[in-house]
Amino acid sequence: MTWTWTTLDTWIVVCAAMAGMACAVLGNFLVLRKMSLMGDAISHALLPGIVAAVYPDRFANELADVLSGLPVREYLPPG
Amino acid sequence: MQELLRTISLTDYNTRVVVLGVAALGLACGWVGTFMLLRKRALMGDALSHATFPGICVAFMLFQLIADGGGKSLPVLLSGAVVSGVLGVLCVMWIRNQTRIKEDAAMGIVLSVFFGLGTALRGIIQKMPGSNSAGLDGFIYGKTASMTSFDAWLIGVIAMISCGVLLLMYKELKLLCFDESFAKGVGFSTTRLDIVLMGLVTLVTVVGLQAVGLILVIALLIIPSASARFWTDRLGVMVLIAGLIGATSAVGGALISAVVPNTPSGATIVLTSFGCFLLSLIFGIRRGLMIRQRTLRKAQQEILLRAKL
Repeated sequence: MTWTWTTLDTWIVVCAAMAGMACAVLGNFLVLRKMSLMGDAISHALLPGIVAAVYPDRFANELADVLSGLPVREYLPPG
Repeated sequence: MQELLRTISLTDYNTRVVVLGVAALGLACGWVGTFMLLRKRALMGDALSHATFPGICVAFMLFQLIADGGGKSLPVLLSGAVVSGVLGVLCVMWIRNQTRIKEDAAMGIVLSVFFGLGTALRGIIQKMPGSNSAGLDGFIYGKTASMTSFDAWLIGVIAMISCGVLLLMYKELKLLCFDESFAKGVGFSTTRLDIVLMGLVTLVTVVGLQAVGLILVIALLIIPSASARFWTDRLGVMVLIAGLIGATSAVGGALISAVVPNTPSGATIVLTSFGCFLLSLIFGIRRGLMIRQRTLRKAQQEILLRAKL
């Protein structure tokens, strides 16, 4: 397998290293405060927000479809 | 509309199988979850369910190599799940007992490492020639639609076993949950009782993997029993209510997932049980928000009255 190291790869490694450092620093306090699983809860709670942010229009439409018994669609922007 | 009516009235054989299966699962999860919640081990179910994933993947790979293309045999996958799930729980207990790391950190370590291992193995399986790993995703997110009558029977039998064990050991487990040192004092082995409880959780979780998926199976263990806590102060009543809420939300979620296209059943079951939780939180007659507000107001009025006199 041929493998060429590109600039993008450098940035990926740098990002991972920085994320790891930041998490490890905060993690000390979480473990000592006995709140280790708080990070787990927060990270899982991000997911609906990410979905709503990536597909704002589709998210609204799907929500309207699911709740179509209720008069939701009238309050949403058209489209 | 026709579709909706057909689904809700359980005309189809498939719908009936799925509904009965998830109802048994919800009931058993509610019952077992109550004791887990009161034992303050609620998140152990989460660590356990995440820890089953590498076992499923390894079982899939091994069986794929031995019996060519036969990797999707359910009993094999589920026994792999049991082995690695139990291994995960043992790791949590070992870390907690042998080091100064607390239980929550130990669970965080085990669940992320096991799930990470499983994800890596799943990546390898997808690259394996001739193997179709599509069945594995059903274990992550849940897939009630593919439930066969064999799966429903399996869930039913496991549910009956766990409910039976809970009924037989009701008194001992009650003691374990509410007064551990007294249980020790009168001669019960708390370790053994804990093992029984964890064994039941393992069984229920592993059969529940297919229905709600390993990420969300914890919801069926925690949410019904947490909701039941708002309604009563008696353990027996709480267990019954938790079973009822679990079964209702599992059936409701499975029906929603059947009617609304593109909704994984795990998600709909969790959201339905969250609806039950919200209702209990507000209207619960023992600890609900409304009753608490009312007692608080009454107490304040009484204090004011006394101050005036």
